[in-house]
Amino acid sequence: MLPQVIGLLAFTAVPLVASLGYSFTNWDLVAPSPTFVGLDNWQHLLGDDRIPAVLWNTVRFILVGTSTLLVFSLVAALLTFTPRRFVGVYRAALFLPYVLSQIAVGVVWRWMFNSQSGPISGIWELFGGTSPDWLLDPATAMPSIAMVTTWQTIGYGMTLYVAALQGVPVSLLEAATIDGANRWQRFRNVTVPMISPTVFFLTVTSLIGAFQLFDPVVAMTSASAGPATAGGPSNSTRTIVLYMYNQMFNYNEQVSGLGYAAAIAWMLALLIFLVTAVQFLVSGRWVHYEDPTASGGRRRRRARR
Amino acid sequence: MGLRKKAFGITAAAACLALLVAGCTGDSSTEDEGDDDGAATGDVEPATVRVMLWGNDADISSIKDAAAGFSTARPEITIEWESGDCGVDYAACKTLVAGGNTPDVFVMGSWNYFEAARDGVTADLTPYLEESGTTTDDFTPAIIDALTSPSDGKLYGLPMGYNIQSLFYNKDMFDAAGLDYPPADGSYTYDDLREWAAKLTLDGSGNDATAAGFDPNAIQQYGYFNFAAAPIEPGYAPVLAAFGGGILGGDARNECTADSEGTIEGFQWLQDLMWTDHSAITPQLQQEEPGYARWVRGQVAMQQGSHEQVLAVQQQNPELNYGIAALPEGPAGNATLAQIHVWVMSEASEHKDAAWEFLHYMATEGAGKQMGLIPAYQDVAQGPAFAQAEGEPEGLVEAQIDPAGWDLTFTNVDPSVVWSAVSSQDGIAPAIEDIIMNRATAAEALDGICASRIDALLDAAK
Repeated sequence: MLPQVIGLLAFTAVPLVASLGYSFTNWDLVAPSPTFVGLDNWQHLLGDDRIPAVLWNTVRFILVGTSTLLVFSLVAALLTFTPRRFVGVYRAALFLPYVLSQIAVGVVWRWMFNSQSGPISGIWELFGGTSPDWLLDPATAMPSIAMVTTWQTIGYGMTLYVAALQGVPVSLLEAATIDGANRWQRFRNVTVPMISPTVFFLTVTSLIGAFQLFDPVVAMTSASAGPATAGGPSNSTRTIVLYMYNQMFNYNEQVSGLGYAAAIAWMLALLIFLVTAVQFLVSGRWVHYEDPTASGGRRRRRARR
Repeated sequence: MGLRKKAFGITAAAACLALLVAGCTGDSSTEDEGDDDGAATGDVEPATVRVMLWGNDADISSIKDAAAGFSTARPEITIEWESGDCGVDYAACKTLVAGGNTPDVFVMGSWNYFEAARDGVTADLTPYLEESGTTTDDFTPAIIDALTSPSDGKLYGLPMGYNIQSLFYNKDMFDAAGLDYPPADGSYTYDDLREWAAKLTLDGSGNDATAAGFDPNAIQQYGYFNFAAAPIEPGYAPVLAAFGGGILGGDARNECTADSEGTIEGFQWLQDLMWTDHSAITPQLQQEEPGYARWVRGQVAMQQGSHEQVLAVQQQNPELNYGIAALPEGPAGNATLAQIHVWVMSEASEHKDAAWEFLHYMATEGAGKQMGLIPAYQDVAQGPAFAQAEGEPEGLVEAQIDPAGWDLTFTNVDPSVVWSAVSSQDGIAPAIEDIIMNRATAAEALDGICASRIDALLDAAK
């Protein structure tokens, strides 16, 4: 237990508190020590007109990325849930992208999205359309990045959904069938409520991850100079974390450096906390934590034996 | 008995701790012996110098090869090689400085050389240079001048070498089109270059871009590539300078000229080649496969590039029949851009004398063939180590060395430390993206951009 506690203190608690302290300082990492500046960073943060823009970019990512993750990973789970030949292979194939490096995935998808010869453009043009310049057009760049992150994390969501689907009591489904419910009604009124805790968990964790978007943007939008030039075209993919990085290392404005980056990080942490709290507050209306054993229901897994 | 064992254990532990502390102290005192505040005298205490390098394997090997003579001549100085991004990326240097782990010697790019000097990360080498007998006259004037701080006149590094933008062209394609080769000394114009690019762009039916039946959707051979399609400064900056413009102007490069007539004309020239003539690599094509790689494998007739292209041809397509010429003359004259790789010494180094000895050797006696750069130590640049070396194309002196003396040639040093902000998404980047993607003309994209975006960044950096 002690090693875990030490690890938690050293690598989480201390940096957390230290970063809060840094948010009241000015430090370019080169000066011998930070300079206390009181609330200057926080005041500048409130008046920084780039913050709304980068937050909006992050929200655009969330709107596409989180919603598609929730839907497509559920579809993948439903398709691979029923035992059939090679189902393990399908699941492994869907899960594989999740273990790949985000930078490597980003580099590959840069090519996939190329409007000259990329496969995505090729498929698009098969249907008679003119392919957009996916990553070079401000209108399509962020949705394209969101789709890539969905593709990469779909296996993770699918795994959780499969586990949840296996926990849906067969007795409830059978009862609904006896009551005349068709397949869609069983799914809508029995399966979805029973897997709602998993939907909730995925929503919360994917939103937290989405707020921290960084690697895919750097890999897919920077030319050759790394994070310093990422975030284009026309600022359309610059997220809050990328902006934090820019402010920490690459700028030389009067209010910048580690202190201002720490203030941005804490603003982000508070925002995530707020969003998560709201999610928990409204979750009571749609998340059902019913104990299947209380109703004497058999688990589907058990029934299959 | 148990107590005795415990007492022995405690004593032993205390002794070990004392030895450790003594060991650490001993190391420190040894290091202190090499510490100094003054210039080198030539007699240096034995020391280990940490040298951090960046680049690909060939770059790193080239430096180690160049340093072999130093290790033989100065066996009392041990070189400990490290790899890291400090120098090419200043953010990496900052993390090393914050962690108290800065190497003794590393290689800065001209683009962040002055930022490190301003922050006190790199040591002033002026007194060391005066003691050594080497003078600034021994280096290419434009290069050493660029590294001399405009604020205090000090030198914070010595040049490893520089690369300069030139025109690389495919001789076979010029022959097939019946065109004369570009003069090596740059005595041709951007109008000539545009005309050649159009004639060297061929569709699937063999029509060039000036022919009536030319199909821009079926191009098999492109006329021209410029890194403006990426878009990065070494690509567009020489063109803008030749047209009399630039993103930043002034001696300290802190005055916005991004909406000047010359800048607009230069960017429009680049856009016209990409989107009106269809003779240059566009950002979409660049994203598919870098334009320089297309040139090396023979799909593009001309490209603006640095001496790195010579190495790329040697490694990837040694059969390529190519030539090299200085960049053309624009309305304002001939212009090109030099990027310098600079040997610097950490201000925090505890072995400054030894570090200086190594750094000085690498910039003078050991100069040449490091990272494929043109050595700024003139005697070497003109000799067999570079200009007369085997495998170098004809016209190398006219195309790569002489342009360093042009009036309009400039280096991408950043004495006011503003370029990272100006070139970012907060600055000029969205406008350049609009131009090269043909979403707006250069005049539309740059209209009033100094007042609306750039000046605020320049003010904020003061």
